Amino acid sequence: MSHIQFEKRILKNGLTVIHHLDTNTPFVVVNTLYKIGSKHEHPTKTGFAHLFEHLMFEGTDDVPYFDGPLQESGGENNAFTNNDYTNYYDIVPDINAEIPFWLEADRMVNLNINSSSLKLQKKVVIEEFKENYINPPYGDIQHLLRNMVYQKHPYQWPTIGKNILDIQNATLKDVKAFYQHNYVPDNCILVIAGNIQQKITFEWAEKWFGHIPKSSFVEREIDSEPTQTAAREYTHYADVPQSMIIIGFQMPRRLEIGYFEADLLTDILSSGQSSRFHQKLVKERKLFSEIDAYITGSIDTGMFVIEGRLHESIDIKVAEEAIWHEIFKLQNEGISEMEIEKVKNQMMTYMKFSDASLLNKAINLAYFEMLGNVNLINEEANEYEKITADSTQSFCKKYLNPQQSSTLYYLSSTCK
Amino acid sequence: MQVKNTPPRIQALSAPVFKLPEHHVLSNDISIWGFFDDSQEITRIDFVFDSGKWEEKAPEIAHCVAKLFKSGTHLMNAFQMSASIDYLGSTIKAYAGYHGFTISLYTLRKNIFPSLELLNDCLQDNIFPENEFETYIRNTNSKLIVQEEKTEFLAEKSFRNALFGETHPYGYIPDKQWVERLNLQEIKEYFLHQVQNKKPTIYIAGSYDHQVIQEIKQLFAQKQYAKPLPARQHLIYSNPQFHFELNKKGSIQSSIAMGKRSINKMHPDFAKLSLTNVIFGGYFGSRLMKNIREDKGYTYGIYSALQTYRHDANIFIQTETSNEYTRSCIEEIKIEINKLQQELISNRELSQAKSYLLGKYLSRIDGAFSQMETFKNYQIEGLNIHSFNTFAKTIQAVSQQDITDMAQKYLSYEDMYQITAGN
Repeated sequence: MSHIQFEKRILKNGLTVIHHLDTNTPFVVVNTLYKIGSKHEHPTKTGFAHLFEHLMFEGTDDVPYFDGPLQESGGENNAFTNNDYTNYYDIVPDINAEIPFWLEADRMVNLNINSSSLKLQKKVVIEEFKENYINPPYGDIQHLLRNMVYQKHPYQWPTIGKNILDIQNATLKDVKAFYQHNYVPDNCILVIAGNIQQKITFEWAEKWFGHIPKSSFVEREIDSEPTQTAAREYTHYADVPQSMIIIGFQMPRRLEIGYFEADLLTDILSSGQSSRFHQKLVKERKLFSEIDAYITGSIDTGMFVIEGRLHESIDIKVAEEAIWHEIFKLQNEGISEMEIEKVKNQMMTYMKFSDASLLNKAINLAYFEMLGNVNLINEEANEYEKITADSTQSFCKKYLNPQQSSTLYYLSSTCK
Repeated sequence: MQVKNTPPRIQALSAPVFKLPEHHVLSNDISIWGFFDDSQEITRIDFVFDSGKWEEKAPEIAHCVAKLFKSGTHLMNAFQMSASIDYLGSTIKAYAGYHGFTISLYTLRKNIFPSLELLNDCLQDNIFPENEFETYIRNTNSKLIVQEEKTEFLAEKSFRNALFGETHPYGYIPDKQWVERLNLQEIKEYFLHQVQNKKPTIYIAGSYDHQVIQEIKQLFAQKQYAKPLPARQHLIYSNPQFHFELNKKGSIQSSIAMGKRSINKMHPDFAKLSLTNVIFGGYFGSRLMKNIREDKGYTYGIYSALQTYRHDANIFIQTETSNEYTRSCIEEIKIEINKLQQELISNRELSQAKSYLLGKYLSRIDGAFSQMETFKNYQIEGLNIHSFNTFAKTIQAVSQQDITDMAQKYLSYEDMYQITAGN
């Protein structure tokens, strides 16, 4: 893999700054990651981290409209929140590279939070909730599944929140406290990537962020999820045209042994036309119109999910047995060298094409730094290389077993 | 006490200029356009055939051919073909656009040669097995049944049907009725005449060398191509009815689709109108977003787009909103159109939109892969890449009055289609 060069420094106030030079582009990315996600939320105040992400665009006294100066610079920006963190990115032509430094530093301390902006963004987020999780068919799968796989860990709810009520109930006081506690330099990683010299990056980081006071941030302990010992199942009826079966398993943490095996196993099972599920369950046995296996990629105990949509005439029990048949077969008969090589080669190409994007590189640098080792950006390819057919088979035996499964029967109400 | 920093000055962007790619012409007149970048050991090669949906006998044929591109040859079945391509870590994808049928190869530099050979096997020897065709029909139907449950899908479908007609290449979107009537014979015919026997244009980006060009020449220079068939003609049947309310029982939100036919990139007003569209609903700072999302909170997102094709174009406004806001949302869209038509926009808003759009143009030439994508799309749309430079320059020169003029000329809502799908 081509090596990604970077330089890391920590300012006196605890802000981590990482620089990556790429002279192949006329753009600079400023990526600001706050180590705050929906897993840090209180179980009765869910959806908060994401709601707050919306509020971060509500302006300050100096910059009443955050997007304005970026658009005038010829740039773009956006943000996303997940269970583990919140990430903001600004992409600007290199001639205007200092603009995002100014804007990001400004909104880290001077954000205007008032009841009218809160009221408005609650409305927007409620529309987002409806658009993605209530109105579309099967939109509530993540809500139902997480609630089964996690009994204790806050991964129990999706980033959008448990329900609309939690969002409605958010108070100005909560929002202000949340901002003061989490949006601080020592809980933040700043990555500057693109056509900008290292010296300038650190000079500007100091100039714009250096005066922000350190906060003595203390990370909150999160309950770890106890290992599951008995199968869980739940039947849900909905007004959808076809039934689905979703099987979730707890899986290793992001930095725990087994994570890479899990990732490659999902490819063996369901990536592309030559995958096992596609060949056997879609094409030969004609049970599913679509079936997918994926991992959530979470920092703490993650989810390994198999989810398939059945053809109308198929009995869900038959479909379920067929999935288990494929899992048991892999556990008993193993994986061929050719098959493991295939998914590893696919992974290498995927990683290289991903590295061709400046924004991906910037986000990945911030992400790996958050995991505690920014060097992983260059080391992970080797980690995937080391995975063997045997270790993937062992992973499958250990984690994909019925006692540790959560099965969601998502049935079309026409089956009732 | 810390002295407050003065905000940095924003520099104006100059109009980006497209650098012409390397060009090879084979003895049989096939063009290869090259966009070299050695910083990663990866390569993308696209083969574009001048056909796409425009040359189908009936809707969905070209898309089905694309999906079955790797369905098997005399030597390998679909599974073996996919496994061989996957084993190389490569991806081969076919895509049917409106005017181009594109086969793309994404590969590691070191695996270009074996990947190209597999691609060529599919291209020269695809046998379209019956069972692969049946699997495709079964699964596509099943997916479309789910699509039909989505208000967004219903609204867009109805919008396109009304604008161009139900079977027009620009007018249909995937639908069960078209998929169910497909037969293998017409799939094979389309493939033979519109892909296999048509002369491709070849685009290559990323890491490659002289040898790679030679290999492509080897594969394609020998073949003699018949004179192409005359292009198909498609008549546009716009629905005389402008408003449709589709009822979707049980939905808690409605989808709104509005718009009308418009001008494409060949028209002298194109650059001005595209900037007007940015201001109206084309970016986060647009009038529609600022009013309907950031002021009223009716929606998570609303946008308008100027969608252009080789022979036509349309404006498309789209949003999702709670059923109780549907009426108000449409009213606000109309208010924003009126404002844009009647009030001169501020210089500041104009220059902000210009910078944003010039930044977009800059991102279209950011790196070999983007350059290739832009260049290819211009050619498919029937344009010379010089238009890219002209548009960028024109954008810089647009005046406040131009925006008002464009809004009056192209955004009047009296003849706009208006579709709502919801409850």
